Amino acid sequence: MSEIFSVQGILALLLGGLYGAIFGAIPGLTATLAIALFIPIAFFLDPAIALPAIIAISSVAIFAGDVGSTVARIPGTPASAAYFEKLFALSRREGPLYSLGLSAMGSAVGGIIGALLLILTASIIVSFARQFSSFEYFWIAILGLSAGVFASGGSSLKSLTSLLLGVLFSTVGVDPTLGYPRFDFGSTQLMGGLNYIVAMIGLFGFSEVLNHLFKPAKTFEVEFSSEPSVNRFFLKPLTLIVKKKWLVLRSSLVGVLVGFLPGAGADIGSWVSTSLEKVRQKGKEGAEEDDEIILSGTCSNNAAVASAWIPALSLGLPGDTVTAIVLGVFMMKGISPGPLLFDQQPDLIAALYFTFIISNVFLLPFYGYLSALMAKKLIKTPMPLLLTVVTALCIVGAYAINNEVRDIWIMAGMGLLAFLLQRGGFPLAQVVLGMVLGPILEQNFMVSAIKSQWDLMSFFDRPVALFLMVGTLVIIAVGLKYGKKFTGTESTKT
Amino acid sequence: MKVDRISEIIFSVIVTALGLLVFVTARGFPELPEGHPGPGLFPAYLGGGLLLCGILLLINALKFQAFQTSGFEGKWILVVSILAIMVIFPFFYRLVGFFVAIAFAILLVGLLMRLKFISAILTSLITTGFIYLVFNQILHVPL
Repeated sequence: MSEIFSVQGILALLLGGLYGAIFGAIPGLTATLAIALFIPIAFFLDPAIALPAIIAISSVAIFAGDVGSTVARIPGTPASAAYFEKLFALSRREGPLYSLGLSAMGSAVGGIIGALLLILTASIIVSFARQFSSFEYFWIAILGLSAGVFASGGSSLKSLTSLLLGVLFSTVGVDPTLGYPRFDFGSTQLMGGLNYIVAMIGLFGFSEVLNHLFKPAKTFEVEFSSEPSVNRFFLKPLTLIVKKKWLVLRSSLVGVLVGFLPGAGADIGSWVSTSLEKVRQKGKEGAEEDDEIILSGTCSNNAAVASAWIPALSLGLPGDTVTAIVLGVFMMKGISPGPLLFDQQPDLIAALYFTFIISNVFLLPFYGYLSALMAKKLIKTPMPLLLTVVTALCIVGAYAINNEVRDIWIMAGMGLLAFLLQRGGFPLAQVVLGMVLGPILEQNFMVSAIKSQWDLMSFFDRPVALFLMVGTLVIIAVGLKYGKKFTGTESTKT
Repeated sequence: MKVDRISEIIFSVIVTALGLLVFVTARGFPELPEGHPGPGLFPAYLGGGLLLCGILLLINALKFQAFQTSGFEGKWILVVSILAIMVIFPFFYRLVGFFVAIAFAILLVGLLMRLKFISAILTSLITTGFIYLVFNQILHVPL
């Protein structure tokens, strides 16, 4: 905990927030890309500094995605896409400072509610998880994978294919039972498994460079005058939030629930919440209704950022792509998420909770105001220049992890694969989910099967295991019936 | 992302072929003592799953209403050129060292992205300087 109050800790939070604000505000650069490019630096930092920085980056980047919507009618991140039209209309009606203020304050309140629920529920889930054996962990992995199939919002068949690919990647290297090398193609490097972090840099960093080559060059029409008014940015939006407190609470809770689902994340949270709000409005249109949709989306996406950490910390299941990368950082540092983490590193857990609160109470409003003032410049950052720098950071990131130059080939290969998958409409978050849950699934299945001398009925004997199995069946049934109704998006790129 | 019918068919064939390949390879992995499934169990199921997904994707693709736009219309020459830089980088790195190699790679990528020559040079120098400062000097990563 003391690290967070050190000069390095405070600097990490401030710089992390600034970095997140810049990445979120530039259309096409996502929070996940920001985190993927930050991993090589995180790798060499103390986890007590690196992880809070990641929280600051993701919290601020998700809000900053609204800068593009406000200034140029271009959502900066997919999490902003659910309500960007309304936000743009509001900025034309009431001025950009007010619309960004509403977004920042809504994000901050949603983030605080998400963080409080994270603090409350993570320890409850951990005490529940203390009773887990390999049987329960096997079912948890199955439950996470099942939720992942329906969480993408696109084709369930393509999500399943992505998941299977991810689990397949996790089988590269020596197997957990006999130590037999699988799919290593004679490479000693691959015998140790596919380096997770190198793969992440390729999947979310390098693939973005390739993706942008296929997007038409856009020139943004910016009509923006940022009168520095504290009243319009802070007070007026806060007054509306107090007036609409039940809507704020409802939307934040929806964000928390969706963010908790493995593979869903902030953008799905925002789509589900705004869809529900539209249903509640019963087709009514007007300025007040628009404000409600914006509040609903902005509260829920930042609430989902925090709640995605609940399963990640307590069970080792990633709630979104950002927490999937965080789990990779845990693995690199030899930290096991779950009950052990809470027992062995209570200081780290306290630092993470504290950072969530700090990020939402101070960093988000501060960088929100700053990015509102800098919006005109941020939005016009030349994309070719950025892509050149991103490519360089992908190369150095892949190389620096192991000082192994051939990792650059693996990174580029994963980037190409991600690029092709995205072109084909296959979600990427599900590949990562498969890579994270694959080892948990296989290891716990093999341990349980060997322990029970291959009596497979023992997987249904224990009450908690049975409960998790029923939960899996419910998720599959609900996913098949309602999966696409509220998730009006085709990708899960946060 | 909207995908045209031909691309859907190509994807489904690739997934089917990959599934089949993984399934066949996994069958060759050893078993545990007493004939219990071992290292090949999960890969075989995964191969089977991919095979099934590939077939279902193919059926969907054949029933599919073709979209006008394809996800594959773009600057392929740039994609291939940037990948070529990645392939060559490790060899070039061994000849000239990391910093010269990365500076040169950034310059080439910048030019491919149609930056002006002077902008590409400046981007290369500033980014290489940033990498040197952050990774080499602050984080002490031996590059």
